Order: sequence, then C-alpha cells, then structure tokens
Amino acid sequence: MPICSPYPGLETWIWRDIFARAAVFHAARARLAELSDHIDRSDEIRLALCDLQVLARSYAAGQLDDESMLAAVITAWDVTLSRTLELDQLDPSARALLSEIRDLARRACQDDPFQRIFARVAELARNAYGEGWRAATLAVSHIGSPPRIGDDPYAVTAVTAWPSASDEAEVELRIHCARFGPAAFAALPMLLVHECICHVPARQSGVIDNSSTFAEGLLDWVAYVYHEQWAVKLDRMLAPAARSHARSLRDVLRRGDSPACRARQLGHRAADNLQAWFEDDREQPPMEAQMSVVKLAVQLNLVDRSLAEKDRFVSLLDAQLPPCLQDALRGWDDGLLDADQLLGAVPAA
Amino acid sequence: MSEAQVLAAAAALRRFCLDEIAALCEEEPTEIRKILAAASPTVRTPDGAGDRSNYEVSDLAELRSMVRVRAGGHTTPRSRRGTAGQRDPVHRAKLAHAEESLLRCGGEPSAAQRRIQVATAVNHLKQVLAQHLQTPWWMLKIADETIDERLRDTVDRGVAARLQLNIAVARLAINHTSGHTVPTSKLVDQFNDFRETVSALGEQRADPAIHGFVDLLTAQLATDAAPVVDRLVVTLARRRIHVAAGHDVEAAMRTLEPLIRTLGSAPNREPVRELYRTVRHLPDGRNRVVVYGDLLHILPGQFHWQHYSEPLPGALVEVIAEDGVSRHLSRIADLLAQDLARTPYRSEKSLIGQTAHVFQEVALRDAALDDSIMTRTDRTCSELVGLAKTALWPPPDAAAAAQENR
Repeated sequence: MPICSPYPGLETWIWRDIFARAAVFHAARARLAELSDHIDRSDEIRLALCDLQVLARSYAAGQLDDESMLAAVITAWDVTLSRTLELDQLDPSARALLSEIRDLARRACQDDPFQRIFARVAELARNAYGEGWRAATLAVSHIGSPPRIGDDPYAVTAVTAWPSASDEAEVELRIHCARFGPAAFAALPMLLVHECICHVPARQSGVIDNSSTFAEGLLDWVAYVYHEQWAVKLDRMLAPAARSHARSLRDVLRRGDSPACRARQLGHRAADNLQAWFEDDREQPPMEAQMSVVKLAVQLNLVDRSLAEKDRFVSLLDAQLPPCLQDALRGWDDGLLDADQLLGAVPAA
Repeated sequence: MSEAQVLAAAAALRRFCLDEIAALCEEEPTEIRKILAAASPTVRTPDGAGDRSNYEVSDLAELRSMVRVRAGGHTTPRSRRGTAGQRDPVHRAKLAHAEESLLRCGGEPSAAQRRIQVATAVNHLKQVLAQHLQTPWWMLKIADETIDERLRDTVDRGVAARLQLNIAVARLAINHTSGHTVPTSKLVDQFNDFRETVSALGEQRADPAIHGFVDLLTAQLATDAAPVVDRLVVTLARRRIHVAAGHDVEAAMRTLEPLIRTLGSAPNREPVRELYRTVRHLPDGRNRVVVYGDLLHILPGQFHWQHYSEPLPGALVEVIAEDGVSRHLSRIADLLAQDLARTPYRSEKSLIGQTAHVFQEVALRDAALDDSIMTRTDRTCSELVGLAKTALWPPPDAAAAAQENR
C-alpha cells in the first residue's frame, strides 16, 4: 500500500498518527463511553492513552505501509497494556476495562473510520432532505490548536464549504492531533450530523456565519434530534458513547460567551418555543410537535432566501409568538403555505 | 415507545415516503412499514410496495390519540418554553446578541440585507425590554420615547442605562437603514444623551453598543456623494474614533463632540475639499496651515512644525510651520489629492489603501533627505491598513430614503 495521506493537504505522518488512534477507538467503540469516563478517574487509563498516542506518532513517521503500521502500533500497545495489567495496585474496574480494550483493539482494521461514519451520516441525511439533498465529500485536516480555549476533550471541529469548481459540498473535519482522544472520536457522529443537517443542503450556501441563530441554533437543535434517532442506525456499538458525548458537546458549545455560543442558546430556545407552540396551539402530542419543528426547519433550510431572513424568522420565536406569525404558522401547518411563503409572510416584527 | 415515535412522525409529516419517515425514527424501514400497516386506515398505506410510494394520514385527530395512548408515560418531555421572567438567562444572551448584531450589520454590504439584520436585532432587543415593561414584545415601538422613562422607573440604574444605550443604537440603525439623516443639532443632542447614559452604566459592560452608537452617529457625517478628499478625511476620522472607543470611551467622547460640530450632518454641510490650506501668513514669516495630519509623519526629520489645534480630530490638524515646510506639505498634499482624484476605486477602503501607496512613493523619493523616513512611513501605512480593515456602518442609504419619499 502506498504511504501517503488520502486527504490532500494533510501531511502523511499526521494522517497516519490520527488514523492509527481512530482505528483503535473504532475497534473499541463499544467501550468508548467508559474509556472516556475513566480518563479523569484513573491514572493508568490516562497513561495507557498517552502510550497509544506516543506509539502512533512514532510509527506514523516510519516507512511501514498503513496496514503494517497499524498492526505494529497495536502490537506495541498490547505489550504496554499487558504490562499495566500486571500492576498489583490497579483498580479492578480500570483493569477490567483495559483488558477489554486490549482485546477489542486487536480487531482494529485499516478502513478509514472517518469515511465510514461520514458515509452513513450522509446517507441518512439524504433521506431526511429527499430531493433537496446535495452530494458531499469528506476531507480531514489538522489544526495546530484546539478549536476552543479551555480544556474540553473535543479537539475536533468541522466546516462545510463549496469549492467553486464543484457542485459537491466539502465537509472538512479539523482535528487537533495532540488532544484527539476517545471523547473526540465519540463526538464525530454528532459533528458530522450537524454539518449534514445544517450546512450541506443549505440554500444559503457559501455564507458562513457562526452567529446565525438559524444555521447554528435552530438547525443545530434539529441535528440533535436526528442524532438521537440515528445513533443506533449509524453504529449500534458506538451509539451509547456517541449519544453521551453529543450531549456533553452540546453543553460545551452552549456554555461560553462567544457569538457562536449565544447563537446556539438562542436558536435552541427558539426551537423549544416553537415546539411548545405546536403543542399548545395545534394540540400536537410532544413527539409530533418535535417532529413538526424538524420538518419546518428542514424545509426552511431548503428555501432559496438569505440567511438574514431565516435569522429574522428565528428572532420572532420568543416565548410569546406575535399573532401574525401564529397565523402564518397555522397556514403552514394546514398546508396552505409552503416554507418559502411562510418566510415571506412573517412580519419584520 | 417506538410505535408512538413512528406514528408521531407520521402525524408531523402527513404525506410521506418510507425513507422520509425512516429518517425521523430510530426504527428500521421494515419495522416502520409494519407499524404503519397496523395504523391503517388512519394512515393510508400505498398500494405498491416501493419505498418511494407515499403514505398519507387520513385522520389526524385519530392518529394523535393513537400517539398519546402508545406513548403512555414515555412521551418526549414537554418542551421547555422560555419564561418571560426577569431571571431567564436567555435574555442576557439575547441582549448581547442584539448589541453585537447592531454593530456587526454595519459591515453588511447589501442595504436590503442590512435592513433585515437590523429588524432581527431589534426583535431580540424588544424581547429583552418586554420582560421589564410587561408589554407584549411585538407591541413595543422602539421610537416610543416613553420606553426610556418606563425603564428608569422599573430597572436598576446600570441595567436601564445599558438598555437605553441599545435603544439609542437601535433608533439610529432603523433611521439609518431607511435613509433618514439627522440634523446636526439633533446629533449633538443625541451625543449629550449618550454621554450621560454611558456615565450611568456603572458595572454594566456595553462595549458593542458604545461602538455601534459611535459608528452610527458618525455615519451621519459621511456621504458617498462627497468629493474624494472629504470621503478620505471623514472616513479616517470615523475609523480612528471607532478604534479609540475600544480603548478609552471618555477620550473617544471628547473627540466625538468636536467631530460632530465641525462636520455636521452630511447632506447640508460644506464638504472638505483640500488636504492642505494656508490659514494665515504670520509676521515672523511662518505660516499657519490646516493639513491632513498623516502627512506630518512622512516629513523629513529636519522639517519642524508647531502644533496649533485639531480642527478635525483624527484627520486634519492646524500647525505653524516655516515657509519651506509648508511648501513641502502643500506639494505632497496636492500629489495625494491628484492621485485620489484619478483612482477608479471609490470605496473608502480603496481610498485609504491608495493613500498608503502614495505615502510609500513619497517616502522613497525623500529617503535621501532623511533615512528615518521609511520607518516612520511604514508605521503610518501599517496603521492606515489596520484602519482600512475596520468594518463601519456606511453613510445612510440615500436610495432607501428616496424610495420611502416616493
């Protein structure tokens, strides 16, 4: 096999370093939730993950092909894990977990785990958007610093762009190699669901505004609903860790005081308010009301209007909805207005 | 639970194919097909077996009661509707979002999009105000001056000041996007109110609102229709005061007042036409001149002058200089003015960039007289480039005003 990165712009040795760890996390995905939980509680588990990082980095720079390199990393890590498991003072739960992880890691395969997750997310998102879906490809890149200040474990972020020469969107997964661990791997499905639900099919393509309450707020809420439904379909074994880290990532992304955090807070609250309106005014059961918000948001995302107009719509979704908006929403729910007409019908305020 | 989920999705979608409903549910299509078949005739199943065939809800009320029964105690938690109470933390985020949006949308190139962005920010602001004023938010009129009094009566002084500041910014932004210009006397009044409000802020932080106010107020001083020389000096003065407001609000305010008084509201004022003007020949042979201030930074070191006043802070200064120095200043001012008049690029950023370019040429020419000139010029050009990158509210949209008046 050729020794080169499959992603243009990502240096081969960095790719191989990331890939080796991702392959191990993928093999151990059924226990990833426990593994990331134990990092803060067990020095041995933290050290075991550091060993994996050092080994991946050291073999990544070598001349072995990808398959042999991965095998070499796993064999070497197996040795260090076995040494750790011999320690008398090892906590029994950490011992059991490490032992299981060692067994699972032996089954690591050389398929690209990022492409595997992305392909499944894109397939499900295509079903959600139907004919409105646009094809997308995945790129992986490396970032020199974590995406956020602070010590959260999610050393990954993603952006969606439309290269001018292509009709396909390019979802770029940006990984900060030094802090890429099990929590970051488990958060990948949610990150990719966000990109595929919020940005890939968006008709305001090309506009990137992290302070948009529609694109980063209301639609992000919808992406979480989808992720919750899709977690098992995406990967049954990864599902518990993926769900747990999706929730934790959401808290991290809403916690700060940046425009992007505020957009999430406001957009999520707007979605809650809209769901409550469907329950109260349209007498929908909560489950249906949640789906109605999803349906409307997806339709709005496909409307060929500016992001500013969609943000304005979100700005009307306070705890109390203005009467004219309520009329327009009733019209949409009764099938008298489509999403484009709904946006056109909403007043400035 | 899974059955309820599928039926709830069917109720929301009304008419759908299997792929669509599968995207909303945890279940696999085969299981979904069974659940929908069992719900017939409430959900009409397609004749064909293809996944693209459409299902249709025929009795929504019945389907909803089926969802309620199937969901039992396992319903999706009833959604959390935001409270209108004062302690709702989302309102803090709303106020900050409104403040930032009102500042940021000044950089939006499209006037139509800017209008929408202002309306959006104003909606968020109204929702914050409504929680204090006990009025449905969509009934509030930002132009209503009684809002200020009602706030003073109901809210802590610092919070009231921050809200008033935002209301003032919102009023200016609304006026601006409809192309209305404010007479100079009104601008001075607004500035005086602003100064008072800022002093009442106390512990409250309102940096984006302060920046927004300064930008919008000074936008009234600018016009796209003015001669290039006027546009250059006004935009530089505006940009410098914008930057200053970030470091020291008090100092920025000291500059803002003379700026308003000197320039005045754009449509009726006399534009600045010269980058150099001799005010008076003094008896000692020196001259008192008004000159574009940055030119002084690129003079050879042996040329001296004496500062006299600052008629347009951040752009024009009045100095006393020897005859030779004033002649040199006059020459480079003419050179710059001619260059600006010739340039096909009319944006404010381009004018600043062009100025930096002329400065480099002058410095290269005069470097033989003083080798420190290049360093000083580089420093000046670097500051100019930084100023060019600052996003500002443009002059009020004259086209919008014309449209409104028709």
